[in-house]
Amino acid sequence: MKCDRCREWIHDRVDGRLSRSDARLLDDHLAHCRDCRVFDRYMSIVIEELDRLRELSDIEYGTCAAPVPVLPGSDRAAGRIAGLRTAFARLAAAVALVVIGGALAHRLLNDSERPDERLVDAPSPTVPTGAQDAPGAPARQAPRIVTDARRPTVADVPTIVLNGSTVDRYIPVLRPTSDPTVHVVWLHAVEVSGESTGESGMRNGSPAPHDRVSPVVAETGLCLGNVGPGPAIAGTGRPNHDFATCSARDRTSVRGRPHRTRPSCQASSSRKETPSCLPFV
Amino acid sequence: MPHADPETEPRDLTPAVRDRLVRLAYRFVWNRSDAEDAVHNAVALAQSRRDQLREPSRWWSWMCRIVVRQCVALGRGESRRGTRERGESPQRSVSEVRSGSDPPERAAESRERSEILRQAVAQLPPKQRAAITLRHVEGMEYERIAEVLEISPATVRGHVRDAREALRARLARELPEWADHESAGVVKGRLP
Repeated sequence: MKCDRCREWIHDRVDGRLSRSDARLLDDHLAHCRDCRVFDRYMSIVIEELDRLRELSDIEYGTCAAPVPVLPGSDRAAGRIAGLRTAFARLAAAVALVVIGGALAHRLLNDSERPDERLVDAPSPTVPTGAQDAPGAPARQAPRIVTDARRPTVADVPTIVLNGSTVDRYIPVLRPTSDPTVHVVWLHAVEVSGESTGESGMRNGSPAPHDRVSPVVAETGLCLGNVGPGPAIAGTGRPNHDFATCSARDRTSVRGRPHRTRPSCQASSSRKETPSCLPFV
Repeated sequence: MPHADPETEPRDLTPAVRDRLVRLAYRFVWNRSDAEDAVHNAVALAQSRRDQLREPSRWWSWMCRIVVRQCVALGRGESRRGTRERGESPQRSVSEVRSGSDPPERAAESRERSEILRQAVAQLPPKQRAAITLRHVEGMEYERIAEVLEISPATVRGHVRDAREALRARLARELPEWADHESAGVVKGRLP
């Protein structure tokens, strides 16, 4: 066997594409060719270190590793490690389920016992004109106030019903209100009962997006950058502020600071033309 | 249409999907804030270019492609600047994760080669970096990588092999003593 062929086979073995008979020929060649043996040794180190990169990224990212597929051609030690990873991931998943279940049960219990505790009078959010009672508007639920100063999540959003169908795909966007610590979460319907509503989350001829969503007022310390209007709403020519996006520069400059520290984020009706908004999920 | 593979289900920007995208970006940039920046920019691009998604069933690959491009672009910008302005503490060595019980000499060797390899990955050409990261760090199959990078699976294999060769050559150059290091523990016992 020539060394060039041998090195091709080493790659094939890493990818799990080498037959057993070819693997025996490869091993025979490696047994008497030092250069190829060194090549194989360094290649093995590369593969092992790349596997470690994956493990490290999972750990550094702050979450437990999901079951990691074992690349064909990995050694038996790697297989054992992958098995441990899988077992660890299952254990972590079980713990997470228990924690999440407990949290949900606690929340449900609190809600049933004190139904109005978390619903307080909302500061008047900046609601675009004509957004309330347009024909064809979905059934709305009362704005919900999240008072624990955490970042709002989709779980805080009530079910959105449009023409009797539940909106199951949407793009949540944070918008400021007159209170700098309170944001309204607008949900833009993207798909209703399997029907895509188009690029900007709109169905042609439908009312403005605000007519189709349920607001969630969330108290949050997030600081939002100044942005310009987004792309025009299809069929209307009006700028779609809610799909405007913060520039990376703006977002980086304000990220992590309390909202009050940025005067330009003092939301008011005068900022309707350049609202701060940010997909928050 | 729902897809059997949850990765291809276009659940736009749900927390789980966003988390997966940030995790993917993290494997490239190794910095949480950079990863979130890349995903934020990718999401903005995706919203403004939604019409470029021809097949909704490939939404996940499409999003991954945008995120990977953002990450690679971010890496190029940093390499031009020469230094990274990281707000976070320096990353731990890869081997610190699993070398805690190793003898100190062995752990030091492991850390050294891990750092060399990570730097080498960061310096690969963009396509090779994307292919090797998606294959070996993200764990994608070649066919999925081809979908993400919009190239053929054969080309992906070529990029991955070229990247492995580059990394192997870099290790051989930086750690020549490992050529005779029979106790590396990573050679013996591999099965096809």
